[in-house]
Amino acid sequence: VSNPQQPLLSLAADIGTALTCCDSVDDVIQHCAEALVRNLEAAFARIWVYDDSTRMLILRASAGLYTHVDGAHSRIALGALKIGQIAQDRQPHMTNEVWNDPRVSDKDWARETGMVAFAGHPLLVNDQLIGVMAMFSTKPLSETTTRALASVADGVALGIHRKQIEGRLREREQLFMQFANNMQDVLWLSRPHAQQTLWISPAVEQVMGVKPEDVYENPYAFMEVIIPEDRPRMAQFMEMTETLRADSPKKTTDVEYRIRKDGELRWLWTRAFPSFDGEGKIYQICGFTHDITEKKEAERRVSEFYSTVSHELRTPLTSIRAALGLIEGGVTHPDSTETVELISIARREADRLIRLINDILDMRKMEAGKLPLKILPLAPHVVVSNTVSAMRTFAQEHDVELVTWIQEERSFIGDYDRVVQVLTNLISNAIKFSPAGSLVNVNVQASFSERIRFAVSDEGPGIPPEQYNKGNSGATERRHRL
Amino acid sequence: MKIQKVLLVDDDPNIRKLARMSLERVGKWEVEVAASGSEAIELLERVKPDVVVLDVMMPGIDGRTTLTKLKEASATLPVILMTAKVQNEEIAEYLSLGALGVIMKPFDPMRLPKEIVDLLNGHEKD
Repeated sequence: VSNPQQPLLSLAADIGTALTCCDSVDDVIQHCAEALVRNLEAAFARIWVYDDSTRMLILRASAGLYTHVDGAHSRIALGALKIGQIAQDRQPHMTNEVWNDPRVSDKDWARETGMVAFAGHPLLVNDQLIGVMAMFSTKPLSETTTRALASVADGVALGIHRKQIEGRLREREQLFMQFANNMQDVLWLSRPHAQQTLWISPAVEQVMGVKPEDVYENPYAFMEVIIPEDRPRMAQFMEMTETLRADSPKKTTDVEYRIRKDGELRWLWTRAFPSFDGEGKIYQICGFTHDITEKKEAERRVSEFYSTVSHELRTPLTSIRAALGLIEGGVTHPDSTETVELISIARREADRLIRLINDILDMRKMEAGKLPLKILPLAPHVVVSNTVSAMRTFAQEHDVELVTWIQEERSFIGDYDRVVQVLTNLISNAIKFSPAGSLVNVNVQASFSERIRFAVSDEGPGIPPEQYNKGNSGATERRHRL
Repeated sequence: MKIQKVLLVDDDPNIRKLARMSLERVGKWEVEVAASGSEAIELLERVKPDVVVLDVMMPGIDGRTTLTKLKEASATLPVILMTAKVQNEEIAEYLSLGALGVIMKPFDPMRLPKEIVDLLNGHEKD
């Protein structure tokens, strides 16, 4: 005589194995359904999983007489049929007289198949509905079996719940990894005092030129690419981060520093966010690192622009201020030619100031794309002779001779004022940087594909080749007003 | 220290003319002008100025280099810089290179000689 407890012990063992056997919810519950059929001699066993968004019970496992999960009972609304009712009531339903049970709708089927017993359990975890587990049997179920089923239901509910959480976590992790791995920024997580790098995104190689594996091996590996003069700043930043507490008013720290990557200087920005334990102390620090080279470069250009503009405006102002100051101070006799000359200097420099301000406004308009061009046919010799005659006095002041050579007489199309402006800037720059007694040549000739080439050459110091493309950047004192 | 002769270095012809007028008529000094740093260095030996007033931003060799070369030629020569640039770091750098002081542009032509004298006197007191 076999031990009547034997099938229940075996069931418990099978369920235990099933709950830890597989990754997917479906595999786990299919094994559970099969264990019920195998150990309790159930005719068939089925498990529905509750979908909260549609409020439907979805048949996900079926073992024994029926093994399909589609068909009539594949989707059951909450409260519908005996399965939906078990879910709604959150109460198990059991009978050993299927033919008499008001909840069993298809009594003919029960008679034909000899079904005697039914047991259905809601699958619940902390009052949260997970699904329904149900079985039919051709033999009555004992009280012991009935009790055992309740604990099996608890185990299955927990198992499904855990798998669902695991699945959601996996989705979240995939989502996070998709962000982290494809981002141009470096994300990282480390222990305090950089004792250990817990995680760092692969972008660290692209952004800092340091391999992730090197950072795992040595959390300070990034220090080596930081330029020596910025290392103390980084050390200070790390120290600052460590001093943050959960009750600090500011819970992040930032640092800007330079690294050398592939021989090139790059500006980086790092922000750290510590995580605090129950005592308000830091247990780990996460953060991100972003390349701000372009932003820094734009800032530098703006500051250089202001510095150049302020210098350019102060130069004519210096002459105006000095000329007026000398007249006012009575240094020259009011009726003298000297006074007339001082007034003339002040007037000329005031005109220069007006031109400068117009240039600046034009630049602004150009940047905003709001500079309308008046395009007309222009004769090269007219453009050049008008520009050059306006520059004669300036050239004489610098003891520089202007020489023109027009090799191209055909007209071209352009905006007269703009062409004259560019030419004026080029010539004025050439004069300014010419040694006394030298020549400035203005030359016009045909160029490739119907173009015309204006060239201004001087005998001044020239521009170092490394600064050729900097144009208006002001990096060089020469040619800063093209 | 009594000033008799000033060497004025500026690439801008207007400023050369105006500052010269200020130094000659208001300061009653003898003034020699140079239009570039290299010209100033050339003139130094012949002119033997009591003080050099040097524009910082010039084409060719710039004010910084000129200052260094002038101080090399004569370590005791007082050099006063004139600048339209306002960055404090730059001013500190010029002082560390041996400049006696910095006069900002635009300058007041009626006060320019006194500013130079004050810088020289302040230096002597130290």
